[in-house]
Amino acid sequence: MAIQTERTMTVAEYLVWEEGQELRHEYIDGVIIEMTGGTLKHTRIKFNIGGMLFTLLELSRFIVCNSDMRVRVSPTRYVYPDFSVVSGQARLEDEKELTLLNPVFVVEVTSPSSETRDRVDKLGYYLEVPSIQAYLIVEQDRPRAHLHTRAEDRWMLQIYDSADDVIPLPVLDCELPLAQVYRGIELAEA
Amino acid sequence: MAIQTERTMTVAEYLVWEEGQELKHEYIDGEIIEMSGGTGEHSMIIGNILGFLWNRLSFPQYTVHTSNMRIKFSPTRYVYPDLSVVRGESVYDDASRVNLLNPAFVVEVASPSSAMRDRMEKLDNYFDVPSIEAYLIVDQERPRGDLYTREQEGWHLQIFNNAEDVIPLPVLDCELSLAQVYRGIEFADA
Repeated sequence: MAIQTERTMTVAEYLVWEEGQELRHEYIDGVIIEMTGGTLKHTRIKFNIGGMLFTLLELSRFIVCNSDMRVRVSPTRYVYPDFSVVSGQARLEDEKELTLLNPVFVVEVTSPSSETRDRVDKLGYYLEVPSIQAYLIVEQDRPRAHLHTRAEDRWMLQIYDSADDVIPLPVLDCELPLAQVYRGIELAEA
Repeated sequence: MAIQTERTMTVAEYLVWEEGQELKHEYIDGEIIEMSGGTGEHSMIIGNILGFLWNRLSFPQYTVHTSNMRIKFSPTRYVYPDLSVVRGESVYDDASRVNLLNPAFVVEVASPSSAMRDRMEKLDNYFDVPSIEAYLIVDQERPRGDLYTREQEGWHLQIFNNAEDVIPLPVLDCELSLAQVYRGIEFADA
């Protein structure tokens, strides 16, 4: 859910300006991208994932953030992932605590309007953040998830799209059954 | 470049019907997907890659096929990749030689209309074809190539997006530079 605006500014201008905004905005190399709301399906999938992460993770070891948390993926790129998870201590950009630097895991639930950004742009950004060990892309309109995992200096993709598939997340010491990700959601085609 | 139509038919109906069509159509589990023409950039990129491979690969060790070649990758799925390369002898499903079975390398040049099919469905489908060792997705709107290489546990992903990047293609025993891929194409902002 994002709308690209014509507005451009410097990083410093963006950081000050965004604090005064009601909506969240991502910042990519000078360009401001407004984050809009999501559909019911989008919200429910996010809630399912958030609920599982909150239940399954040892909260003394991990911090689960939702899309209120901004993540800096490069000195000129700031985004709001649907989820980001920190292992151990969170590192923040400054004392305002508005920007997270070291997630190990990020999730995007794609909607038709965010597909390209999630699968092309953000894939590129997340893969270049050294702390990120796994990036999960969950489709909103059908039960399918793409899990990108860092293995040493390489990235591997696994695709999960069967009702009984389970997404392994060794970085979080847990796994997410696909059926739970889509719990309660009726999809047009399975 | 694809338009999904409402039409559905059986595999047998599709194979007969498509022979009489002027446009090409892919077939995925009953659905017909019409392949439309491409932009100048799209066709230039394909031409650049084709020219490079044609010069670089020795015949008959390798055969380079254009998007006129239909690939059958399951009994109910037929597609036309922008480019496909066979190592060794081309294997077809019957004497009419219209359905290729064994490409080792496939390329899709992603346009805005095809990007999501190329990055989702096809990524998924091509992995199910054991002969396909590597799948290259080239972006039409900016210099970027996503190379997926088959490994036992999934696709190994490498992203190339710097002007001087060179894409290694061990499957073809050669490498392809981004500069060659985008020769003659100017981007609004690089």
